[in-house]
Amino acid sequence: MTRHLACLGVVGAFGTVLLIALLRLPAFGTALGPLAQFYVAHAVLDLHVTNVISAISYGYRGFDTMLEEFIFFASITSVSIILRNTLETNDEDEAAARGRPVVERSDAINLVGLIWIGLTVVLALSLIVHGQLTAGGGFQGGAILGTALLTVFLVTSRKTFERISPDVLVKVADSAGAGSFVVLGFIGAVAGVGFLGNFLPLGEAGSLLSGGVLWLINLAVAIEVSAGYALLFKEYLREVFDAESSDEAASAEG
Amino acid sequence: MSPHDAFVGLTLLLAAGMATAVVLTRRMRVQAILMSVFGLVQTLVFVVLQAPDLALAQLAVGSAAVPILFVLVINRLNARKP
Repeated sequence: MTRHLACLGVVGAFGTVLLIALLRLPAFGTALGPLAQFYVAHAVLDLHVTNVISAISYGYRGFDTMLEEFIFFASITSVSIILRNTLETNDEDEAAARGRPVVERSDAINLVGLIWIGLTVVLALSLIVHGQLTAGGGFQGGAILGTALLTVFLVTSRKTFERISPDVLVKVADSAGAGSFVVLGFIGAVAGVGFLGNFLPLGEAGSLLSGGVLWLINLAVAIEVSAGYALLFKEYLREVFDAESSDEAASAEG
Repeated sequence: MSPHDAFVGLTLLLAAGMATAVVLTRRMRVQAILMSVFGLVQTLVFVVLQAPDLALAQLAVGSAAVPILFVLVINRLNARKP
């Protein structure tokens, strides 16, 4: 009873502080602060990019985004390390075949899945490529592409998922995406425009090939995020399905 | 209070209700599904607050990726039980 009262007290205190803060926020539509006004006024003119959010993420604050991508990369690498189990990789085919119960999949799921996956992949690629023009960008498109890959697993089988995301390709793409970000920064530094500065022709704002190095950073982030999600799912699937069967084997022997 | 403010308040209340539902559910698998719906409601909140980039990211991550990871972990835990 006292514990419930204590919890209620803490929640009440935090809740009151948050409520007061919420009521004192400026209303929607108040004038932008000076930094926001600078970004809005100069993003299109300086960077030839119409998506101001991408201009801020990959242009003005590209360094912060680079470190955020490293957080993503580091977390997926640590999952990969922690979930390392004793199953040898040449057992993968057998494990992949064993990891799914033999269920006759209905035609409805196959049809809907096929259409849905196709549409999602096209949407993801469109979001990635138009990152500097409209809402979306590298991270969003990459996450949606990763989700589409996982949906392949849900709709078909683990074997198909493992076939479309081979180990080497996924790991190389993940590292290449993260590394390209830094390499693009260094090329800018060598070219004399500063780390992550723009060294490519900027193009016309609103056309597909605009934004210079910002568009390449966009692509690098998209590759890294989609490969990172695919790697994450592969590790989780390996942990769930293969560790299960090695548990069974261990308990059968022991 | 403008209609937009009322709409924002409504979606925030919906998010609070979904969060309470997730916390008060007993069964883990149902919680994972409810987390997916909660991700969807959060996407709605971001759309109503005029942040489409955030909404896209939240949709991909919170509605699909995170609940699937949770379900995989739950399966793993249940498989370990004697």
